[in-house]
Amino acid sequence: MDTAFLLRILPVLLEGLEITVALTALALVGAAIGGLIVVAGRRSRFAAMRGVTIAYIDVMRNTPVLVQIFILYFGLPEIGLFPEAFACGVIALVLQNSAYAGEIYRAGIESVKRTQTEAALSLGMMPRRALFDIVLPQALRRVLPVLGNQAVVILKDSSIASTISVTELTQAGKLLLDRSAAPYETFFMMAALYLAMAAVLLGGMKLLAWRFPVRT
Amino acid sequence: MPEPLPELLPESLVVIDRVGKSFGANRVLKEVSLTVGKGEVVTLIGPSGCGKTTLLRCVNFLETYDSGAISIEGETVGIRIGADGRRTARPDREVAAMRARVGMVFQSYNLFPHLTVLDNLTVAPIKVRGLPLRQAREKAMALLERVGLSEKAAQYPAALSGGQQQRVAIARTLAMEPHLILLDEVTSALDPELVGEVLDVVQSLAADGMTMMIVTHEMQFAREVSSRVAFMAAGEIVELASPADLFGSPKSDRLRSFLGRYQAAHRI
Amino acid sequence: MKLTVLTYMAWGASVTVMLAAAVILLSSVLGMGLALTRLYAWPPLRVLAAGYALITRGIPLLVLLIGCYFSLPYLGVTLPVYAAAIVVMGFYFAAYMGEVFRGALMAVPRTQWDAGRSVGFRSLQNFGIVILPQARRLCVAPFLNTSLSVVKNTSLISAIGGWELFSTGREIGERTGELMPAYLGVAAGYYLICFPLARLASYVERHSHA
Ligand SMILES: Nc1ncnc2c1ncn2[C@@H]1O[C@H](COP(=O)(O)OP(=O)(O)OP(=O)(O)O)[C@@H](O)[C@H]1O
Ligand SMILES: [Mg+2]
Repeated sequence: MDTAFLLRILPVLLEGLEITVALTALALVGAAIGGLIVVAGRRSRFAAMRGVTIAYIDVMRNTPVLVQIFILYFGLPEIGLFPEAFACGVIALVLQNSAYAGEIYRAGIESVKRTQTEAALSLGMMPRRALFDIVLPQALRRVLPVLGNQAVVILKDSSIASTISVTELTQAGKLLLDRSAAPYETFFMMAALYLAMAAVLLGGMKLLAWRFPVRT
Repeated sequence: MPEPLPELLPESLVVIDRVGKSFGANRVLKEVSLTVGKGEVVTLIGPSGCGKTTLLRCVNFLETYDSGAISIEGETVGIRIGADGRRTARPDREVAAMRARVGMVFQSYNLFPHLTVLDNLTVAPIKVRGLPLRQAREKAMALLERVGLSEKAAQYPAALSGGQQQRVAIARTLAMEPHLILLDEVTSALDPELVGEVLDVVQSLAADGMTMMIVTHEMQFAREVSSRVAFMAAGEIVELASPADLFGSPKSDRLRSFLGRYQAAHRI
Repeated sequence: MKLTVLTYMAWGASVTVMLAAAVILLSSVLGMGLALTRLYAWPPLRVLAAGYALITRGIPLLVLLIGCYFSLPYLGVTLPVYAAAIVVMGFYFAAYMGEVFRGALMAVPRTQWDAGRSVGFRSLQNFGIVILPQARRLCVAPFLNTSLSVVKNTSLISAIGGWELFSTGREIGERTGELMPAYLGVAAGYYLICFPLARLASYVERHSHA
């Protein structure tokens, strides 16, 4: 492997990596919050609200991110909206992963016994406080590993933004591949950088899981 | 049973007035009436499935009731009854405020596993009553001292024995300074050798004049701790008397056979 | 006109379904191998299999597809794009299928092995008669969910020049100039393929707990 070449392409890839990190970070935060909205809708006391949320989850689960990105980027201009490519990437990732995060939260909440809520209510807590202070902390701890895996999925799916020319890591690599004659080096470098980011995400989750262990 | 006249019992804390409750077609409570005076300890006994737990849960509105009324300190629980007899649900805030004055101890302890023992005791006083952290902690430590567990303050519930967990659960309830405590078979999940330490704590509460409604299968304990004992069967209170009378001279066949079966099961 | 558009999309959808089926088949076979290796093989091989799963699941599929698309010609390998895509996706999803099977095998209580042995089964018999049937039941829902993910990810094959459902949308959009309806149509196509899988998965999930 040609190390001089590697050093030459590294700055280009690192520029792409910056955008990948930004995409992923924004999508992570957006999906973490969006998931709360989804789970609230899914557990709403109003049947119509539950129905709308179920339909939303259904649509998101059953269509590819690629299609969603194209609808946002190429479809929206037809109705007079012109979002930037980067924004389209973030929004598509948030839309799709809010649905997944919501379902993960819900699984966590449903795994906490009803008696925990009853104990909290019997101490005079309002239902919302019982949920946020007693049930959610336990639920989130239980689903931390699943959330960690989903975070890696978000990181990986951010590469799909390359299809609408966001010059994140994948697009940066593709451009290099297009004009250089050394495909392996570029490819391995890209893969290594993604792996490093995935390792950081999973490591972060492990740290959280260590700091907030599941207790029974 | 004659209906209690509230004006003759100015001290009554809980008034249960012809309360009915069904789960689907299963009529679990049939016109149950009972008053609990301030400082009284009323124990509910009866065969499995007769509705003891359901009645207790109705008192702090963890369970809704279909007819009749329960009131605590003059305020109907969970619902408001208009002059025309219409029943409307109370808002969550009012139900929570009522529950803050009524403690409940569960058979399965239900401590919050993600919080330390100390935090289990302080979370509600801080978040519900707005007590400052320092004050909540001091009070919690005093209560842990009282149940003999102050050295466990920093532990998580999972590290405690069942008996210790249940004592923490009682302390957690006391931290809210309740006017009434409901206890549902608080020793049923415990190994026999741990039952005593929990019952001792309940005894000491009774001695301090705490008003309590207790469901138990420990007849000896019921006899010692109760001001009055109610025998329930099939969703009704069949007999209500002082422990000496109820255990000493049971009137109904159902109570006699219940006590007979209990003695048979506990004779060695 | 509308009919031809729909026919065209249906054509693309059938290619998507066939691609997905091929990937699911290949990744299941490879995944089963991975799972068995990780659980029962010679320890160094176990580590290798675990490493494979870890690395594969940390790299975007799109990067793998693009990487192979650019690299293979240099290796002197000229695979048709579909074959390359199926191989890459097969190996990629093998890591996920491997986790599905491993999870199911590990979820069978250890006591079942002892029970089988006490009846006199030898290891291989024990595995085939006692363990596998139980694990098979447990892995149905996660298998379907992973398959759903395969279907959605076949859309990335369009990025390396493969023609399937997503490509039809792009073509129709470009030719008619009506992009929104075209991509919504594509979304509907994926929905129709994925919906039964999702429904079946949640049905199985609900009924396996009881
Ligand atoms: N949530 C529920 N849904 C339907 N039926 C219920 C529910 N909770 C209780 N029941 C029924 O109501 C009846 C009374 O139950 P309850 O738990 O109050 O009895 P109990 O006297 O506390 O019995 P035990 O001594 O076994 O605790 C039983 O027939 C029970 O099956
Ligand atoms: Mg009970």
